[in-house]
Amino acid sequence: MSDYDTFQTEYATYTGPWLLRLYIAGQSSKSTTAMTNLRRICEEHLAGHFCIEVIDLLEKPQLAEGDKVIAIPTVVRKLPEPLRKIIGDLSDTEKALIGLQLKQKPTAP
Amino acid sequence: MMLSSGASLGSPQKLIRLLLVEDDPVEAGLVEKVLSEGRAVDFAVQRVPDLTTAKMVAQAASFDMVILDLNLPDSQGVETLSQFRSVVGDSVPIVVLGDTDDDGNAETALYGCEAEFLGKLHLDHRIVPRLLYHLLQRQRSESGLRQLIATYPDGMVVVNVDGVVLFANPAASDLFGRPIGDLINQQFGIPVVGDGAIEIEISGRRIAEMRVVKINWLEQNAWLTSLREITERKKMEDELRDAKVEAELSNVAKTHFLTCMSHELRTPLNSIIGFSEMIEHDILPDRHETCREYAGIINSSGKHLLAIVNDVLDVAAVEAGKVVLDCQLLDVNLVITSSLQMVSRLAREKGIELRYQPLPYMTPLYADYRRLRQILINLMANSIKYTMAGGTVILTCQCNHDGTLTLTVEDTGVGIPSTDLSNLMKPFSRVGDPYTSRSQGTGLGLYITRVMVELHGGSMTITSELKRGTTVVVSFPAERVLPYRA
Repeated sequence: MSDYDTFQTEYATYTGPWLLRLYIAGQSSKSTTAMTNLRRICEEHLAGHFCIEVIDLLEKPQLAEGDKVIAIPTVVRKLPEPLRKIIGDLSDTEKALIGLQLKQKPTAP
Repeated sequence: MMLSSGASLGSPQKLIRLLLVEDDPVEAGLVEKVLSEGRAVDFAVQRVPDLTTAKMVAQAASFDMVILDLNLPDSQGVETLSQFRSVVGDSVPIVVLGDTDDDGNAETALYGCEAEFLGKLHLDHRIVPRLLYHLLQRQRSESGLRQLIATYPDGMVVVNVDGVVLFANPAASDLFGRPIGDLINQQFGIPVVGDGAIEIEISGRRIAEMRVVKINWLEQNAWLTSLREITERKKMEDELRDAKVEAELSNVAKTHFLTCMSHELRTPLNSIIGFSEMIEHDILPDRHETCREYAGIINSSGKHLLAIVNDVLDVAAVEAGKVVLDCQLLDVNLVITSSLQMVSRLAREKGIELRYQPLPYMTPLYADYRRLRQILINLMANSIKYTMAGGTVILTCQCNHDGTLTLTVEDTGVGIPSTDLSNLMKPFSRVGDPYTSRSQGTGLGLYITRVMVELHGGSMTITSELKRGTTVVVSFPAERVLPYRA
């Protein structure tokens, strides 16, 4: 398994809503990739109880201050607490899942 | 100064230049003796008795390391160390010589001061020289690594498993535009990179390529994130891509232009050559009458050709930025009347009603006479061209409240599909396919007209409805209009 396993914490018991905030800058290909990946990951692993808020820093640069975002694309997990941040376009699903501390799907036997 | 001839440890450093700051001659002698008895390393020792002299000597010459007694005639305690440190900087290792009975106190005081402690009772010639030597080597390799990281051109950020920054080098601080101290303990975020690298954007529109490796940092799992700035490279890539697209577009435009042009130029030339050949070969049934008719055709074909060539030359001048306006105050009504004369025959021949609503009073416009006429004639000829017999073309001139002047050409013609509207004012565009379209033209007219209007600081808008007609509004800015004042 991956190196990231050691860092994994499972959120198996949390059943409340997941509130994720994605910071992007304009409609660049990086931004779109991150958005598509995040949506796909959430639909596969959090179907029905997630909410993605997309914040375009080109339109609202002042919002970067709130979550202290210093690089984009960044995903901020507002809920469940504690706050967690991920930098990257999330194209590596497995690492993104672990970064978000989303419980991994059991692999097929 | 004394030298001992022991075997060296085989390092590049054969001789260690040491500054000994000690006021007690007995203790100083002891230290010197111990150093000289060591078999492994050679020391060149210079001894000074107080802090003031020590500072002076340290400023004048460079030393590899310093042995410092904290209690000197002119300075006491840790203050001695910090004062001396401020003179020699961080790169020189300092060994504090302390009384063994207050070891504990001295060592506590030294915590965090970047100095080593040596008890006076522990001066052993088998240990101390080697200790000092290894201390120097460690200092050297550490400062080498530190320098490596500090001058490394890529940003290095170490974050823990929660995304909190544990370490950042100067390149990272520069990339993020904040001091290293501001980055440490901040939530950077957990870097998620697949195989290879990803691009991230850093506030201030800088782009970096991020790579991540898992490391063990001070006993805990962490990620070392390397950030290579690629802003310039990206900019160049973007520029190259734009240039390529532009070149391709201009190539398409060129091909399109040649296609249009060869067609447009050949048509009148064929008439000219054909009819003149018939005259030349004298195969005319009714020589005099037909000759006149043919001469008329040749003449109008020639004029048509001239108009096309003029358009092409205009576009070439526009593209080269060589069109200069020759402006003067003009009576708009007069310019319009003279332009109408040019197109009225065309309208009459096609059976189109040409209406004109003049301004009720003389309105001077600061414009280029020839170009203003060109604008008017182009627009009206265009409207006449795309309007069927029985239709109407109306030219209206109006002074507005905001001081601007608008010229409106409205027709009841075939109209323009909305998909073509946006391309209409670009060069070489014509509604429909040049081969199938029944109308003639190079597609340069509206482009030239727009450019001429814009050269006057004005604007041109086109609205159209299929089968209903087209309206072109040309507006000149207020500063070019001298309004009528009663």
